[in-house]
Amino acid sequence: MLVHRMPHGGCARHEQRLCAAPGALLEYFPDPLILFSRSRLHSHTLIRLAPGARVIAVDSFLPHRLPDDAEPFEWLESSLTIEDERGELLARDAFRATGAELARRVPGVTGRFGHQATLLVLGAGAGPLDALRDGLAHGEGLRAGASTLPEDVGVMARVLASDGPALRGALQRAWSAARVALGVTPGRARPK
Amino acid sequence: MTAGSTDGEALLLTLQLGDSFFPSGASAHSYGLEGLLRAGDVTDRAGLAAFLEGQVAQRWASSERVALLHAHAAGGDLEAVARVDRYVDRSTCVASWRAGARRLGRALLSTHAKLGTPLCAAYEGWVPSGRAPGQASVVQGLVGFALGLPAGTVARLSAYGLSVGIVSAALRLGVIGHLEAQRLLLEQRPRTERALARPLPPLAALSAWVPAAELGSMSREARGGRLFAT
Repeated sequence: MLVHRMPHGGCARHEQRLCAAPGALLEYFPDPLILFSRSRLHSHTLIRLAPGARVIAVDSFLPHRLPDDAEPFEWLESSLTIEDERGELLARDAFRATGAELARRVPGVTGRFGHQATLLVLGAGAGPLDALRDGLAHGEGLRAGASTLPEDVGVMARVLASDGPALRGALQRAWSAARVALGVTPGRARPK
Repeated sequence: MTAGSTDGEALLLTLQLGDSFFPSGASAHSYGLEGLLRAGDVTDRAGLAAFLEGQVAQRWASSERVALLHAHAAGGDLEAVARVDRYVDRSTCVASWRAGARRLGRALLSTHAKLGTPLCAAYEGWVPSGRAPGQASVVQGLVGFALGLPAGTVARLSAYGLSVGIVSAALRLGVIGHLEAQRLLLEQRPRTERALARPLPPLAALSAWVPAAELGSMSREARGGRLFAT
């Protein structure tokens, strides 16, 4: 999704609710948000997880500046919220990124990486953790890792990359590893 | 244990709580720094200063500060404190950070319960059942209210504790010496004040944007043994 320039103020809002019914396998793998110069976006995703449901969900963004753009994107407020079928909070990941801070390349914030992604594997506890770690090979232009989410709801992988191909490659490997860990066929690269 | 009746007594209490001699349960938390050093993302004093600034501005100010101030503002209503506690716990997606903050919060709670700080023994009783996770920032807010300390004082204790944790971890890892550690703390002071001056958002806006530090800690989780708690 492209988030275009907003030179006259205002912001965009993108909200979605994904409901995984009992026994369902839900996969949500959109392309990265592309944040143009001086854009501002609220992006909020709610995942409602019924008993026995499994979910693989991806959320990612990258900044985009055309040669004549003096400034980066302004901000991205993003959240991924996971609830049970009664609406009880199980886990949430929320951040507010700014283009100015991203450009400073602060160690511990994003460092030298400008592209960020999160992949959630829900409904199988900590089971997919090792597979995700193995699938996210550390290499040049990439930092990636995984950890277990609160309430034994699943596993979260985080990826930082210096360019789009590195980000997409890492997500593809993580997604494929997650599918294997959930007992379904490995993911295949999708045509563009 | 209470703040006492004079400003001087409150200052003495603040010094006591902020002193490493106080059994707060705080160990050296590197907040991912150890992993970043290993990866070569932080190599020198300048990188360390930027790391510290980023952790305060992009995590502490929008996460721990917000949790602490909401817990303090609950005014001793333990149900309200526990709601903040559970929200913070479920908003912490790195396992070692979640566990480390629980460990620290529970140790702090235990010390204050033994010292007779109001509300602490009752709240400690909620921990074993999971009704209260015992997240450190929330316990700090509760303890501060129970002692009669102003919210700003409690928040400064929290920010200072975080800063000392990071700087002392860097000291032990050989990035800086003792004097440089103190200079870094002095440099950080106005930045921390700026973070403290931000308006308090609703709890639902709790957030943190430090993915590189998270990855530093995740790499330590994957490796197993480590020098620091997080």
